[in-house]
Amino acid sequence: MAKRAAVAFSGVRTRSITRNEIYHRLEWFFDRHHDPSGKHTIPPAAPIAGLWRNLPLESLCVSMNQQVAVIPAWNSPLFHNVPIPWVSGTIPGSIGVKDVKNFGDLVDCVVFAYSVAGWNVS
Amino acid sequence: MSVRLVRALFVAIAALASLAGANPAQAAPKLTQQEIQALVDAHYDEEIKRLKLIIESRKQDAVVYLTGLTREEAKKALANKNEIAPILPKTPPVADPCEAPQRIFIRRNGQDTFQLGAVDVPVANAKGASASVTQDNLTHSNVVSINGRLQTVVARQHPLTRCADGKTIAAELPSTTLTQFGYMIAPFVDGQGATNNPRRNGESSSLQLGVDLQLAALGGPFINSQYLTLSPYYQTDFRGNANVQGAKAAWDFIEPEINLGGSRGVPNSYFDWFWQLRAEYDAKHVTDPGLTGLARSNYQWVGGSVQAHFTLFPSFEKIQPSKESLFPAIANRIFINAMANYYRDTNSGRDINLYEAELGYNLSDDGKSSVSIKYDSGTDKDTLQLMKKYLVGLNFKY
Repeated sequence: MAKRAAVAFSGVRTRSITRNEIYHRLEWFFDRHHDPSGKHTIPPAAPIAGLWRNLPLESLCVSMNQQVAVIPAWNSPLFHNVPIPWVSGTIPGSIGVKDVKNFGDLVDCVVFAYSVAGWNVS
Repeated sequence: MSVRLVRALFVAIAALASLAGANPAQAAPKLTQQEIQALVDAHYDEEIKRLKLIIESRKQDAVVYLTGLTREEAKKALANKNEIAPILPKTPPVADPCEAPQRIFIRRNGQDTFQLGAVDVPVANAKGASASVTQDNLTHSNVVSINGRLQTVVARQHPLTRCADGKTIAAELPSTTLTQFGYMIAPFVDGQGATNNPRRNGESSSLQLGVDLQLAALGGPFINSQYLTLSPYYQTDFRGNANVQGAKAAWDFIEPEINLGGSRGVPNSYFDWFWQLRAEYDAKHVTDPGLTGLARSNYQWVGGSVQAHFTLFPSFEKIQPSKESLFPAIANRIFINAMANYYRDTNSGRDINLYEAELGYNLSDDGKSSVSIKYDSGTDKDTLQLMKKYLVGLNFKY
């Protein structure tokens, strides 16, 4: 009898990510020299205007949503093709890119986006 | 004896080697997550203490204020935030996505406001309008000089925020692959130039009344953001003598991956930079040139401008404190701007160029005041005046 190939039902599998990894991925987004397994270098209080200079926040939202190429450091798209929201409050307490003031806000925004997309964020 | 001596020598060498290689960061053990948690808890315990003190004093004020009221009156007052204000809002304040953040703008020119239909250019990054009045008592003359643009947004639809009757009407998740469109309609009054009293030869000015019809295209496979602006306008001079009708089309781009429109992330230690690119078509029919410097003719200018902005030795203090600026004393202070314009009048075949280079020094950390030396060479499209001049200036933005 032929051996059956293993089948992965990725559609029903709950995917997991840590807040720490999201933090590293965001740091890599802003600093391509960032070591994904090294120390964190961008503090949560870093103003977003200092990291996204002269550019409108909507282009940040578009740019984050366009990160679909596989990044070798993680062997996956930077934000796993999870849609990053523009507007806050679509679910009470959520924050969108439009209202991000600092790097910590952006981490919260992306963590929320992963949760909404069905990821388990620990 | 000799064995002991050799052993002692080895021990001494090993001790010296370990001392020489000692690294304070290696010597101090890294904290565990629990230990970090304890440190963070201690930090926030301080915050809790401060908040408790504030709450205690607020409570005392409330007791003083409510003393003498009935239970119902006191409950009503406690529930009214205008009487007893909450220290922290129950829900974080969120900007209304359907409400325009700003409707009226006073800026230097059209390039200062081109993103009106999307998110506004921050004031710190805008150039701002300038106006001056000079009265010369020796020659009994007055000069009024204006470089500014007043613009108001009368209608807008943000590409990422679908709104109708003041409410969002769709899920607010931007598409990862499709281009999303928005529009903006904004009438403007734009004044550039000077007027003299009594009138002098060579006086030149431009006063335009028009409307910007802007299409914003965000996302898609090719570029991050594009802004296409069509602007029909009527032009005269500051005395109202000229009669010019025209229409302008401009195409601006933003692509953070190549520093187009702005710069992203952590810059290198030597300089931070970005560039801007604008393609433009400007058609004018001059019925009466007045004092605009134009000739009675038709113009069809095709061309554009490219600008590059550099800041030397950027500061990392706020965005990456572990990285030091190369020269902290002058971090974020020295800047260089370069601009090149090229236009061709397809009616006459005339080409005009304008080049500008500027070297400046920021007097304040936020860059709102600076001194600079600027060199202009070439011909301005709107007045057709040939320039070759140096300008030392003190600049303010607000």
